[in-house]
Parts: sequence; C-alpha cells; structure tokens
Amino acid sequence: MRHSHNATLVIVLAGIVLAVLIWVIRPGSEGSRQVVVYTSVDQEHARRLLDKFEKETGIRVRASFDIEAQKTTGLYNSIRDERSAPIADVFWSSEASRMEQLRREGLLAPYASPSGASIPEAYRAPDGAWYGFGARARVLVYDPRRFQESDPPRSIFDLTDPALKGRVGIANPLFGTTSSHVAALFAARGDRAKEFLLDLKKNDVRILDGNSRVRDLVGRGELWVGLTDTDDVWVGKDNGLLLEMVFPDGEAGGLGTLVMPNTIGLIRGARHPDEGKAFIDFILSKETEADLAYGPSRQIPVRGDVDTPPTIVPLEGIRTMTVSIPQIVDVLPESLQFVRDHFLQ
Amino acid sequence: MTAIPKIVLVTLILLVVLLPVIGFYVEAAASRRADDAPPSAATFFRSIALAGGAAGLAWVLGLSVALAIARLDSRFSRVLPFLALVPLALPPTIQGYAWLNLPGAADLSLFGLRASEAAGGWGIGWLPWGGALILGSSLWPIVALLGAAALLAGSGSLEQAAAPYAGERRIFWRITLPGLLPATLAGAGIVYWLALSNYSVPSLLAMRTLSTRIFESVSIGTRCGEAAMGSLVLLLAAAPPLIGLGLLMRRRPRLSIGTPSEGMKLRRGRPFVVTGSVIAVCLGAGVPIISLAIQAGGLPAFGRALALGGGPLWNSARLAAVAATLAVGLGLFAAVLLPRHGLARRATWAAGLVSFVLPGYLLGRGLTFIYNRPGPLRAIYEGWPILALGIGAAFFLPAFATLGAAHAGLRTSLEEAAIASGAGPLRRLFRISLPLMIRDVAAIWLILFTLAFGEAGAAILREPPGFQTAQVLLFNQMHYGRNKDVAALCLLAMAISLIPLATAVCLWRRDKGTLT
Repeated sequence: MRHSHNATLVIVLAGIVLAVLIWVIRPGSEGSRQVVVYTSVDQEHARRLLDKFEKETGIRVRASFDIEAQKTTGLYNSIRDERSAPIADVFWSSEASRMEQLRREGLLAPYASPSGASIPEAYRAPDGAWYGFGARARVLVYDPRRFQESDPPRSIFDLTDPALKGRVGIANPLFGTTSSHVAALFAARGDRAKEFLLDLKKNDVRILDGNSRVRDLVGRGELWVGLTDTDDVWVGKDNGLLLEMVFPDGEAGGLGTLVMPNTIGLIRGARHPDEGKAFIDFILSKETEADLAYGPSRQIPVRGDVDTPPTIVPLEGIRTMTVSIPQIVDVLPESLQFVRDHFLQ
Repeated sequence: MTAIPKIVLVTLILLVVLLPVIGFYVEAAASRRADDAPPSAATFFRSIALAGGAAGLAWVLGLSVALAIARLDSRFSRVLPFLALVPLALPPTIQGYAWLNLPGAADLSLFGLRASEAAGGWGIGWLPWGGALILGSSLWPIVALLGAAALLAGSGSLEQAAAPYAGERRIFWRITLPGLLPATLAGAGIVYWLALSNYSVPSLLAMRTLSTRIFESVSIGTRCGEAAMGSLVLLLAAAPPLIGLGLLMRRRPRLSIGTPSEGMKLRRGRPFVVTGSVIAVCLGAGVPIISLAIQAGGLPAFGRALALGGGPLWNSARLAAVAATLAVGLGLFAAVLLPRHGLARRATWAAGLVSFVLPGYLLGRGLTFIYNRPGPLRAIYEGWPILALGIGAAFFLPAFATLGAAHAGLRTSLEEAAIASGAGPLRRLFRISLPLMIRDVAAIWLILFTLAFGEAGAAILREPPGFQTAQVLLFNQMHYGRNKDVAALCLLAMAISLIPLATAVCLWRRDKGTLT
C-alpha cells in the first residue's frame, strides 16, 4: 500500500514539474533582437516576407495574424486594448481605413522611412504615420459557366438584379476590405449606398466569413458572382478554380473601382522601435513591392517604377474611385452602424 | 477540514473558473452603449434549432453505439470504443471543412437537403440542418461513451434478474432504456451546450447564430455591452436541457444499483443497434476521413503539412497539456475536498456550467480585460498562459463532474478511518482518494487534452505573438484554398489526438464503469 502511495505521489509531482517546465519554456524570451508584428495580411503571403526579413537581418519576428472572419478589426482592437503598454511594434494591415483610425487615435508614431520616400502622397499619411504599398482592387468575381449567354455584371449595382437573386456573395461588411468598400460607397453615394445595401439584402445576398470564401463558392459554382479582392481571385485561379473578374464601374462617369493598399505603421510606445523601423524599411522597399507583385497575391504596386508581371493591370489602367482614405474613415462608424442595424439584422 | 479552508478553497476555485466570466461582464458593464441591441428572435430560434438538432442526432447515434458497446458480444462491439474516439479527434471545425469539401458535394443531394438549397435556403451549407448534421456527427461519442459507461456500471444485474420472466423487448423498454436515459440525456445536454456555443461550424457555413452574432459584437471593439446581452440570451437558450435533466432526475430514480455485471445481450435488437452504430461511425469518422484523404491526395501533402504546421501542432499540444492539467487539478480538489452535498458544491457546479456554456472567445475577452495591464500580469497576457487559463476554466466542469462521480463511488469507510487516525484533508486526498481514482484522473486528463487540442475559441480572438495553435492555423488555411495541405494537416492533428484518447479508453476498459 505504501509503495502504491509513493508511486502516486511521484506521478503527481512529475506531472506538476512537467507542466511547470512546459509553462516556462515558452516563446517570447527577450534575449535576442526581435520585432512584434501584428498583421492582417493573409498568413501565407505574409509568412514568406517575414521569413525573408528574419534571414536578411537576423531579427526574430513574432507575428500575430488575424483570422479571416475578423480581418483587420481583431488586430486593430488589440492595439487599442494595449495602448497603455503596447505589445506590437509594427502593424501591417491588409487595408488602410483601420490604420488611419489608429493614426487619428494617436496610436501610431510617425516615422520618415527612407524606403517610403518614393510612395505617392495619396498612399501615405500626411504625417508619415503610415505608408501604403502593394494594392489590391475590389472586383466582381464570377463563374464564366453561368454567363455564357449573358454578360457578367459590370457594376456593383448590377448585383441587385433580380436575375441574380440568391446567387451573389459578399464577405461580412463589418470586417476587412468589405467594410472599407461599404464605407467608400457611403462617402461617394450617401443614401444611395444605403438603398444599395437594402436591395442587396432583398436579393438574398449570401454573407460569408471572408473574401476567399466568396471566391471559393463562386469557383465551385454554388454562387454565380461575388465581391472580393484581386489577390483572392488570383490565388483561386492558381488553385484551379474556374473564375473571371471584372474591375467594376469602370465606364466614363461611373463610380470606379476601389483600390485598397496594404499599409504599415510603427506603434507609438513600441518596445523594439529600431527593429520595427528596420522592418518597415524592408517592407516598403521596391524589392518587396515587386516581390508582392510577382507573388501569388499579384498585388498592384503603388509606385510606377516597380517591376510587375504582365498579368497585373497597373493602377493607371484602372478607373479608381475618387474617395480618399480619410474620407472613408470619416463615414466608417456610420456605415458600420447601418450595416449592423439594417443589413445584417 | 475546518470552515475557513473550505471557504478559501471554494473562493479560489470559483475565482479561477469564473475570473474570465467576471472580467468579461465587468468590461461589458463599463462599455455599455445606448444603441446596444439584443440578438433577433430569428437568431435565437435558429441557434436553438441548431443545438437541438445536433443534440437529437447525437443522442440517436450515441444510444446505438452505447448499446452496441455494452450489449453486443462481437468483434465489432470490441472495436467500437476505439472507433467512437475518432470523431472526438476531429473537432467540429475539421468536420465542417471535410463535409463542405466532400468530393462532389456541389451536386450532392443529401437526404434532399442539398437539393433544396437550390430553391433558396435550407441546404446543408446554409441553415441549421447542415450545421446540426455536422455537429451531431462530430459530438455523438459524448453520448455513446457516457451511455456505455452507465450500462456497464449499472443495470446488468437487473436485466439478468428479469430475464426469466420477460422478453428482450420488454426488458429493453422497462429496464435497459430507463437506466440509460439519464446518462445519454446528460450527454445530449453537453452536445446541446457545445453546439450552442460553437463558433467555427456556423462561421464556416455562413450561418447567423447567437455565437456568431456575439463574436461580431466582441470583435467590433467596444461592443462588449451588446455581446453581454447576447451572452445572456445564449445562457437562456442553454437552460432547457438543464431544466429537462433536473425534472428527469427527480421523476426517475437511478437504476444503476447493484454491482457491475454483464447485462442481457441483444439478439432481436441487434440489427437496429449495428445499423445505428455503422451510420454513426460513417458520419462521424468515415465521411470526414475519406473526404480529407481524397483531398490530401498523397504523401507529399503530409510533408508540406508538417513543415507548415509542425510548430502550431507542438504549440497546441503543450497548451492542451497545461489546460487539461489545470482543469483536472481544480476539478480533483473540488471533487474530493468539497462536501458531497450543499451550497458550495452547487455553486461550483453553476460556476463551471457558465464557463462551459459561454463561447471560448468570450472567456478570452474577459481574460484580456483582467490581464492586459502594465506589471507582472502582462506576462500572462502576452504569452499563451492566457489561453491555458481560458481553456482550463472552460473545461473545469467535465473534470469536476467526472471526478465527483468517481469520488462518490468510493467507499467512505477508508476516509472515515483516515479521519479517525488524524489525517488531514490533503493527506487523505493524496494517500486515499487519488490512488483509488488515479485511472479516472488519467482518463479525464487524456480526454480533456484532446478536447483542448481541438479547441479554437479563445485563440481565435487572441493569438499571442509568435504562438499560433494548430486550430487557428487550420482555420486560416481553410480560407486560402490550399485544400491538400489543410486536409493533410487535419489528418495529422487527428492522429495526434487519437493517441491519448486510445490510452484513455484502455484505462477505462481496464476499470469498467468508473468513468461515469
């Protein structure tokens, strides 16, 4: 009996010691040079560049990624939550509006990155708190098998056509680039944007948990058309999905296509500011922007002198919406409220 | 044990288990807004339909499997406990993904559900039936294992006593089934709660449920007040099984009396039980594994998956180990040291239930509120211990319930003798209770390890820098269309989960019936 008791105690103690050891040996020790990056860029695209930065500089990157269902918003919230003692050094966002919101809330530290000097003014904050690069366009993705005898939609307003009832998909407009797109519509069209959303709802639009899900359902033929980002379409095509895309509202006098750059900014009060600046310089370099253009996401460089593959439509070839990022952020709270109260209910 | 240590113990346990909940509601109270709105009635009823459908399906499938395990004498029934583990090793996220990507799914007419989607609405991918099918197929082992344990522990001697006077059918309806109801309905209740708070399956299926609605409120930043309203509605929706089980327990006395014995072997009912079990195994294991294997294609995908997911798989394993240790440690102390009846035990039950029913991401939000402060607490917030605390609190209830039942089954004479010879409560715990319960402790640890390994809730909202779990990686990768790698990673995660589960069943089978 005594032997059994001793054995039990040994097992219990061993378990406790093991648990403590596991607890102690955890990532994040402060010994080496490191930078904490919060990024809402798709993990598979970001990972490649994070690894490259680690290799080139020897600085370890500790990254947090956003899940697709709360794109950008989740990390934006974390940065706001942590304002009293920031954990992130750098925020690399897949879009611009949440970054501009952080700037307005004083949570970004201006940094005049030498790599960012050549970025056009339209794609950077006036005080240098963030820089835009590697843009994606909001496009209509469609299943060409469904439009062999008719033209595919050319305008986002075509999505309310009763012929497409129940056949249109969009990502949840509370998150990511879709939320920025809706806000851009509010900025450009005011009440007409509200009517558009209500008409979409009447047309039984499918609200999905991410732009890539929209692409997948269109590619599998379950939906006919959807609103998504160019990088999602390219990745889908590479994976063998049968997809085509249209840059919407490109006709003269039309609304234009929303183009949304990646953005990057240094967090105010960052614990590793030098490493953060090194990372920003790396990401804003022309080489990285070309890398993004040649990568699976085919992101569109915002600088005209960056090398691009022939498949990419340059920014000059797209009739873009005339709404600025600050204008989008101005109306973002109103558009989110409307979406929550009237579109998603 | 004197009154003061009991109070200290209860307070400590409640603090750890309820801290995330308290944190969340304190933050919610501070951030209430005038325009906070509760979820719509449609969302409420859709969630109940989803959870009820999943629980109903899990009950039917689990009952068949429980009967097959305990009342059939064949090779199939001996293998079944192991087959019943496979769905547990495939968390609902993976099951959902596998079902959605079933080859030919776009043209599949699944009992007419898929076909009706074309008419605009109630297909597998869109409204509760699909979600209920996936969650029920994934969670039926909970019903099956509880039911089998109850059968093996209880009504066998009664069935044998009745055998000379009644036929198989009469014995089944009058003795076997009533004896099986409390355990299987308790299992169905657990499935109902898990389905109600599940986020990943409704999210994958683009369904709007209470869980997805609350997630939206939390993740739009300062809408914790609205999320709290939603969580109260969710707790309201969680009440029916609790009330039902309470009524059932009052009306039906437990039939699990007498010593464990072999019960009546089914003969006439055999085809029904075998058919039900085969359907259960096909739905919960066959379909998803075949779907994943076809998608993975071949060995190269496993190599890529290991390169991609090796780190996150290891992260998940150590997180699950710590979380399971925390839950089992707390559950053991509470089960053994709290009085067997009375307010303290009921309060601990209630605390555990609230943490179990609320979605994991709400616990994560509450912990963020507690630990996201300058100073020493920051180390917990910044690293993965915050996830371990959240998962440990969520899984306290299963540990407490299982170990409480095991402790209640111990003879009290040993403890009384120890008290008479002056042994203190901790000495009695380590010298008497723990050695006698060691298999139960190990089995529930292994089961909780598996559940924690597949848990995505808290980590979805808060991913510590440089620490990604396998479930979050999978959740992200599922969106990128890399189906081969995702499928291979799912199968790797399943294999890792199955090792401790199989060990748990071996422990349980050596000591039949104590895991009740």
